[in-house]
Amino acid sequence: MSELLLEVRDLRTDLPVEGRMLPVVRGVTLTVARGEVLGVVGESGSGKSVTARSIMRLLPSGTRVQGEVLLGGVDVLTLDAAALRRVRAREMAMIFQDPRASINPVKTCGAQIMEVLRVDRGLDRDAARARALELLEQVSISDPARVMDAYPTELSGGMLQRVLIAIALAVEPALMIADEATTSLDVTVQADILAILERLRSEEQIGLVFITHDLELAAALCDRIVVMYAGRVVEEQPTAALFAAPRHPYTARLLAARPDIRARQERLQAIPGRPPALGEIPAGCPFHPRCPLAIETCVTEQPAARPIDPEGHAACHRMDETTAEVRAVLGGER
Amino acid sequence: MSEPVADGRALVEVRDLHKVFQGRRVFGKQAEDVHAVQGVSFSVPAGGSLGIVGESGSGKTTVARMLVGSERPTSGSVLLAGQEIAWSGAKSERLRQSRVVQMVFQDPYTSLDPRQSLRAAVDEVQRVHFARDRAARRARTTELFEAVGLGAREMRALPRELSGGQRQRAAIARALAAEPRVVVLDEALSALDVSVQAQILNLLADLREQFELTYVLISHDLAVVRQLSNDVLVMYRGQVMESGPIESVLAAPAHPYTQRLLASIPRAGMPLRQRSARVTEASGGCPFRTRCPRADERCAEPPPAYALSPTHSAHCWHLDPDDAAEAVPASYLP
Repeated sequence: MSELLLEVRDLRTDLPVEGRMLPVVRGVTLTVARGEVLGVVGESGSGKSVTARSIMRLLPSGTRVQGEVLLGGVDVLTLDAAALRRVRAREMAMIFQDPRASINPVKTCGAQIMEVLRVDRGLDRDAARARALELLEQVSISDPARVMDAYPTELSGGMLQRVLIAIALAVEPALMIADEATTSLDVTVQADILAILERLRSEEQIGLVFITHDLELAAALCDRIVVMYAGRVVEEQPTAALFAAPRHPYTARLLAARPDIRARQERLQAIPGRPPALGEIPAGCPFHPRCPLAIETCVTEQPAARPIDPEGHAACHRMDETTAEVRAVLGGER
Repeated sequence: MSEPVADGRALVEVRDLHKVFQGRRVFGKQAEDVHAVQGVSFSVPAGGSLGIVGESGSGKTTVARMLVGSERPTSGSVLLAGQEIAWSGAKSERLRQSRVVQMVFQDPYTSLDPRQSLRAAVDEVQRVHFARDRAARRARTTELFEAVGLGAREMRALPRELSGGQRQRAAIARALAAEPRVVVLDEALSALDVSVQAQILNLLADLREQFELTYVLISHDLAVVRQLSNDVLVMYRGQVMESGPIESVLAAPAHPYTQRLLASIPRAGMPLRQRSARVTEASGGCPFRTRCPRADERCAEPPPAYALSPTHSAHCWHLDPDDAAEAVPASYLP
C-alpha cells in the first residue's frame, strides 16, 4: 500500500436542526492513500456529504464534530483558524455539485484563478496569469485565454466545472474531495471530468475522495468504495470485489435496484421503504426495516464492522452465514 | 409484465416542430435568438412509449412543454388523438387538451400546491373535468391513491410532509385524475434515490397497463428509457440525431453522438480519455460537428436522414454503408 494521506477515525458529526442536535455522521472510519481514489456512495441522508464537509471543516457553527481527521498525520479537527487556512490553501481542496453556486458571478474566471494563485501561492501578476493559463490547459480547455476573460454566466456548466477544478488545482492539493461534482453535468461532459480526475490521480498522485449517489459512476473511477447508510459505513471493498460479491444486503439490493441498460427487466428489484430521514434513524442496524434478511438481533443490536477476506469490511450480523437465504440476497452481480 | 399492445394509429403526432426563443437584452447586450427545437417530427401509437433522450440544451423539455400545451410552437403542428392543437389559448381548448395529455415533472413541487392536501389536489382535477358528485369524487380519489401505493395518511398530508418518492406518487395520481391517454414524464425519476426510483419505475409499468396509458418519457438516463420505452428519439441541440426501437438504437447506434452518449455511460472499466473542450459552438449544419470525430466539410450542411431499417434512422453525412472506413463498431453497450 502506498503512502497514507488521509485517515478518518470514528468521525461523528451532529448538526443543529430546529433546536435539536441530530447525528448525521455516526462513526465513520476511512483512509485514502496518495494517488488513490476512494468512492463514498450513499443515498440521501446517508451522511456522505457531511462526512466530506467535516473533513474540510466546512460546516455551520454549532455543529459538533468528534473523532479524528488526520491529513498527513495532522488532525485537521484540532487546528486553529490560521492553521486551518494554511492547510486549506496548501493541502486540500473541494469541488461541489453546482459549479454556479461555488463561483463568483461578477468576476472573470481568470481573475478568480489568479486570486488564489496570488494570495495562496504568492505569485506576482504575470506569473499568476501564466500559471492560470497552464491550469486551464490541464483541465483540457483548448481556448484558455478566452475562458480567462469570460464571466461564469457565459460558460456552460461543464466548462465551469473545469474552471473550478483548475481553481482547486491552483493550491496544488495533496487531497481533493469531489462532492457529487459531476451530478448536474451531462453524461458526455461527466465522462470528460472523470478523465480529468483520473489523470490527476495517476500523474499528480492526488488522493481523491469521490462522493456520489451512483454506484456505477463510482465504479468508473474508484479503486475502493465505501457504502454509507444512515450515517454509517455499511461496507467497504475494492471496487471489483464490491460489485462481484457485495457482503452487505444494502449494497446487494442497491446494485440490483438499478435498471440495466443491457436488458429490460420484467420487474426491477426495488428496495421497499426509503432511506431514513435525519433524526428518525432506527435502532439496531439502520437498514433492518428494509432488509430481507433482518432477524431479531438486527432490530436491537447495531452490527460492528467485520473483515472481508481478503480486503474490506461490512457491518451485517448475517454476512458470514452460508445459508441459501443469505446467498440469495447477497447474490452479487447479475 | 405483458407489453401493452400498440394499435398502430398515432395518438401523438408531431410534425416539423420548431421553437425559437427570442433573445432578451441582458446587461445591455442583445442576446441571440435561441432555436431550441429545429424541425422535430415523431409519432407515438396508442399504448406506445417513446423515450426522448438528450443532454441540457437538447430541446427535449421544450418538446414536452409543447406537447402539453404550455409552450406554443413557432411553427409545426402537434396532433393529439388526431386533432390538431389550435393554440387559440381558449380555456375550452386547454381543458380538452389536458384530458388527453398530462405531465409529471422532475420536482413535484412545481405541480402541487404547497398549501393544498394531496386529496384536495386530486379532487380539484376531477371537479374541473367531470360532473361527479362529492361521494363519487371521493371514491375515485381513494382508488387513484391506492393505484399509486399511497394510503389515507398520505392523502391528508401536505406535499412537504411527504418524502420525495411519496410526492412523486401523489403527482402521478393527480395526473391520472384527468383520465388522460398520454402521460409525459419530464425527468420524473431523476431526483429520486436509486432505491426509490426502482419502485416508481415498477409503478409506472403497472399503471401503463392498468390505465392503458401511452408514455412520452423525457430523460437523460438511457437505462431508465430502456426499462420503460419501446422507442427512443435522441436529440442534440434542438435536432433529432437518431430514432428507432430502443433495442436497435442501443445495439447498433449509428449516429456519432449516440455512440458518444453510450460510451459515456459510467461503468467499471470504462475508458477514461481526456478530451479537450472549447467555448465555440457550431451554427448551421450538424450541431454535433464541433465535437464529432468524423466531422468534415460536408457537416456544415444540414445532414440527411439515413434509414438503417424501416423504423431506425439517423441524421448524419457519414452513414453510407459503401464507405467501409466509416463502418459502425458492433456494440457500444457497456
